[in-house]
Amino acid sequence: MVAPRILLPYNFTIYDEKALDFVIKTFANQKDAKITLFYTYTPLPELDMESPVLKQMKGAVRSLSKELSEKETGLESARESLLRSGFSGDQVDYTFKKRMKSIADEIIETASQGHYTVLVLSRQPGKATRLFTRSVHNRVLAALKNVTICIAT
Amino acid sequence: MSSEVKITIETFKTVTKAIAQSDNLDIMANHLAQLLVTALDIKGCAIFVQDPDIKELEILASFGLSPKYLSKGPLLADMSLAANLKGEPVIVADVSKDKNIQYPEEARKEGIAAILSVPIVFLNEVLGALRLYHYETWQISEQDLDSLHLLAEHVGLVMTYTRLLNAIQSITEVINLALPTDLLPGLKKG
Repeated sequence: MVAPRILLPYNFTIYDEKALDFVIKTFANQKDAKITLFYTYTPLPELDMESPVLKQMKGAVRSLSKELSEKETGLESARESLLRSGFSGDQVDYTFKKRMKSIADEIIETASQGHYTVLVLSRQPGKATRLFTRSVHNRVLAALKNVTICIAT
Repeated sequence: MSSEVKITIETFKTVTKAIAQSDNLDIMANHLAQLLVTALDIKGCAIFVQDPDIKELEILASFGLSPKYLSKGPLLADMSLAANLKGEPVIVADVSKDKNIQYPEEARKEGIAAILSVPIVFLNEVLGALRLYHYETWQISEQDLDSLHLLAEHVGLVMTYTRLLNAIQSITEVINLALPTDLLPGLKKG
């Protein structure tokens, strides 16, 4: 049996914690399982050189750096939760990258290129946002082949 | 406390250009939040979508706010700066002296001293709210408030456009699944 390679998109909500719990309960005894926590952030917009906002961007860069540092610490905490639950250090890593496309496309690309066999998604109860942004679940389900997709509710 | 004009016409052009350049609502909203925090030199910004049935606000994008503050609990539109429901902006110049906010203690812990909430409206329907959070008490200028109103209207237009586009894309996907020919190739890309 192929060792499971698990991709876990993580966005610091209580629903993501449920997905994390699911991974712990389901895979903690599998010593060959590999888990990647995954987070993408929106980079600052590119501005014209003449833009007056450009002069103020130093402040935004500082804010973004602080925010990213907090998020990376959060990912590290999630990784430590996995380690405390019995996974070894070489079983768990995380990917922290700049978002260049939609969240769904980033997940699809990472899952395909990294040859992940399991994708664990969380589900937020809100429905209004889904009217305006396309459902990540639907797009991922339609695009990924040979990947077990689990949705923790 | 300051009421100087921060959103000049040049700043407004930069922000609207950033909105127009994004083809993804999520990225557009994040860029808008980042630019407003930068231009106004404030603590943070969040853009919310309102659930029309239960009148709850769901977060679409944010910048400068901690995950802990963002997950403080459900935001009910009629308890959190409720005048937005009537399409009116709400200015909480000093969080410690105002009863209009739902989570004052969490705001204080986050280092928020003032909040401005501008409704996102399209065709008299409140779609959400653009919220700005300042680390000090705030007397926003009339001109900046007008600029934010216009920006919120732009966001409302973009949201309506993406809602329609999503509906068309979903219909196209169903048609493409049912039929062997690609009827609307231009709409395939999500």
